[in-house]
Amino acid sequence: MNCSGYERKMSDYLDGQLSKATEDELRFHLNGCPRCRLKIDDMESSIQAVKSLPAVSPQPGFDHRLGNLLNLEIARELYAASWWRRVSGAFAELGEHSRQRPVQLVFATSLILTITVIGGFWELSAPTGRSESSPSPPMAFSLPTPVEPELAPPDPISPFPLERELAPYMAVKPALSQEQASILPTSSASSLSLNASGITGNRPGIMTVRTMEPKTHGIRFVSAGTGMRLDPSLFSESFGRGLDTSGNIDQPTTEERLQPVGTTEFRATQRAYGLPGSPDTQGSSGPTTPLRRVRISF
Amino acid sequence: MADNTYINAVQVSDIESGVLDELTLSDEALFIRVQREDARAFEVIVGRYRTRLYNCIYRMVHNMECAEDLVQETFLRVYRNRHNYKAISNLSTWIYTIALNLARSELRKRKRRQFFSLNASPHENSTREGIDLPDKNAGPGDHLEQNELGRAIQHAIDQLPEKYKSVIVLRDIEELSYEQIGEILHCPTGTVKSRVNRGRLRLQEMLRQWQVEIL
Repeated sequence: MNCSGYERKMSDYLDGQLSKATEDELRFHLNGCPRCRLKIDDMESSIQAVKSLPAVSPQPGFDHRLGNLLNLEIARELYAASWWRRVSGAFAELGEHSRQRPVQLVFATSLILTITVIGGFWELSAPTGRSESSPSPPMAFSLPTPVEPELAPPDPISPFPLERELAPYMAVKPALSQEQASILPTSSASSLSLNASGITGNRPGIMTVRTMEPKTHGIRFVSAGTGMRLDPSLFSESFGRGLDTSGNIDQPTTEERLQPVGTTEFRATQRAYGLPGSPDTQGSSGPTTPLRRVRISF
Repeated sequence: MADNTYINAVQVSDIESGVLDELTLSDEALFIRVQREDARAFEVIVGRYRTRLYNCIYRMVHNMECAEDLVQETFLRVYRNRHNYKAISNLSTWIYTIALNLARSELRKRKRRQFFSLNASPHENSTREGIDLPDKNAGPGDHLEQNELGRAIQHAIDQLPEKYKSVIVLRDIEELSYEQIGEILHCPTGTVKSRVNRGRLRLQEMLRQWQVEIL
């Protein structure tokens, strides 16, 4: 072995990592090689110098800062615990006690109660008066809220004005026929919008929607900003000729401007009272002025 | 008699509260408590390792603020990954592995920044053979070295390539075994020995040059 070979062993020699034979061999070489002797002495002194470096401690406040970080981490973990982990943990905990009869009884009772309650809600939410031939969902009536005081019904006891009283302001005459029914869409994607051009002031208008058959169906009433639209979803009957079918419920102005106020079913003959309405634009296809308020009674 | 009673009472209360347990338990046993969400056990772990880790990382990165950030990040990662730790391995090896990985990443980032800052001004220092970059990160910790020799040693460590720097710090400053260093750096013990030898030879050369310059 030459000097470079012994040089590679110097570190192990100083650390006491060499075998006895190799150590003796290196020591013998060092005795006869002043260059390697000098090198290993330098290495030893440099190691001692590195080891003599003072230990550096963290600055004051380190523990406080680290504590804050750890508290944040703990809080993050608490909030980040997944729903599934909590549920599985709860079930695991339940499983540990599941051999106890009271726990089993409580669990079984709560399970039965939960299923019963869910089933009850399901039954309540299911439509009852829907026609068998119409698989569509029940209609929703959406009235604008809040109702302005001047538009409120004059008589709270009898909120629906007589048709004859409002006859001058009727937007739609109840003149419906079987042939008109065919021009009206039956798709839920269609809508009817009330033409209200020529309206003066706040004169009340009335729209009467009359079905041809005493058959259950629905109508959805939505408000698009200052205007109103009628959406004859599931419409199997016809409306009067004063109604314009140019509207499209699939393209409402904005969804957030729609103000649903209730859901019910539309039976037999219904009336929709609108304020203001106009009888002048029945069936027109010209520019439309949206209605501001429409009240529906049934 | 009264003193003995007091001492006995203190010892009993310590045993009951687990203080003595925490002080005498091994790192691994303590960490099992940490895995069972014992915050006090983690405080003891932090107390045991904070200075060692800080010293080790400071010698690697030679910047106090950076070292503090890295030590904090190390403890955060230890806590975050506490459930991944298997008791079959040495806890100190695991913690040092995390700390060294962070320190080495920091050194590589600095190297990249140096590289791009050099590329940004290619004509500067172009007449010089070796580019002596001012070490902006060396400033805050220089007062820690009490003498010229200390500054020279730290400067020599800074000049070492990262693979030699790691083993020199772990071996000569932290005084870890070759086997433990091999586990921390994920390399065989023979490689560690070889790197330690070469690192020491380089250090020795640099310190000899420094001695020649001051004489």
